[in-house]
Amino acid sequence: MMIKQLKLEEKMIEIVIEGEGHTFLNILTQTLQENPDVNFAAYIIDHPKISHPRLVVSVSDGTPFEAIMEATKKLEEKSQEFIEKFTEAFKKYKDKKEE
Amino acid sequence: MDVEIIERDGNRIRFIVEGVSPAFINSLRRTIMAEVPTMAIDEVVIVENNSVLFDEILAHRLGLIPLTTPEGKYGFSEDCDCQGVGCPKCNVTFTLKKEAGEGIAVVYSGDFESSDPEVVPVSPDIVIIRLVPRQRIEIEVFAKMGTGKDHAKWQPVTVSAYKYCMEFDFDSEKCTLCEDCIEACPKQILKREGDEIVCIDPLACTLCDACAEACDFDAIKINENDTKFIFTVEGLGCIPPESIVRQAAQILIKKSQELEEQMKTMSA
Repeated sequence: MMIKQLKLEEKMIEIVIEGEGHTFLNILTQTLQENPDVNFAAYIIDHPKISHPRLVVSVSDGTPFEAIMEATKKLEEKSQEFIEKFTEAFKKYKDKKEE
Repeated sequence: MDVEIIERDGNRIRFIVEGVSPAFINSLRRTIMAEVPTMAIDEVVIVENNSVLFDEILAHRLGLIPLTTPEGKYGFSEDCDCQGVGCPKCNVTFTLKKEAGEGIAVVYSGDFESSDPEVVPVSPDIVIIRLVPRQRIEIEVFAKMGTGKDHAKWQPVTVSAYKYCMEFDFDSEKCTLCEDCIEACPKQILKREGDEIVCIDPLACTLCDACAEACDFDAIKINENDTKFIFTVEGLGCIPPESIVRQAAQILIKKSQELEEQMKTMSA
């Protein structure tokens, strides 16, 4: 993951995230939009083969960096919770099958 | 969030996830297909091949053989100390030598000799090529870690899909008990119980809406619950399916951490 900064204002940032695609950007923008301080969060991939996703985040409160960091933290927690719940459910299923 | 395993059989796992967004489940699906790394044959040295198959077709066939992948043992060769050249730390070498004597010889994936007994073809019965008398192949191949993003041969799964769970909405006041809906259902999962129509197997529902269309009185409504998903993963045998799912979620965590790190340095 390589990040290039295209534009930076006090409440707005535009970056290019190299090496990522819809897989990560879609969930990231959605998590950003859940934050009430975020006015606008979206990405675009100009050409599916030769472009890298361009992410624009605009906030009403705080800095865009803070908003992105909050979203990544949230996403991290969610994935961690999924792993824990999944492992637990799998163990339960296995125990039940062995009985 | 709630997870429940419905089925785990062979290389297949089916589970229900409740309380997540479609975006999260879709990211998980895409990660499973494109970013969970496995071993696959990537480089082929053909010493001799006078069979009917051209070298490049043979190489392509070899690449598509699924290989068992021990978790955490191998990394990407780009991140290795050898810097992508290929060394025993990131590459597995296979050799194969076969000659048809007087009769016809069939070359199977099981004929390969691996440098690591933990990395072998998932099935020894995959036919690579048939040789007639006096034909012979001698090859040396190198397998390395990769992701489905680069080539489908590195995909750990054949199926990674989810669907919304169904909510069966039945209005007994509007229903005339004509039972048209029961006949219309292609999965045969509707049943009459007294004065009510009930769904006996909601997980089997394909959300086709045939029952609602068959009803002239709007007594049936099929709603999709977009926070509850049935997820199916069918592996190729390289990695156990439950491990694929776990690894995919870990990749999402790793990506988040990486972006967070970068944001920290950029904002400072």
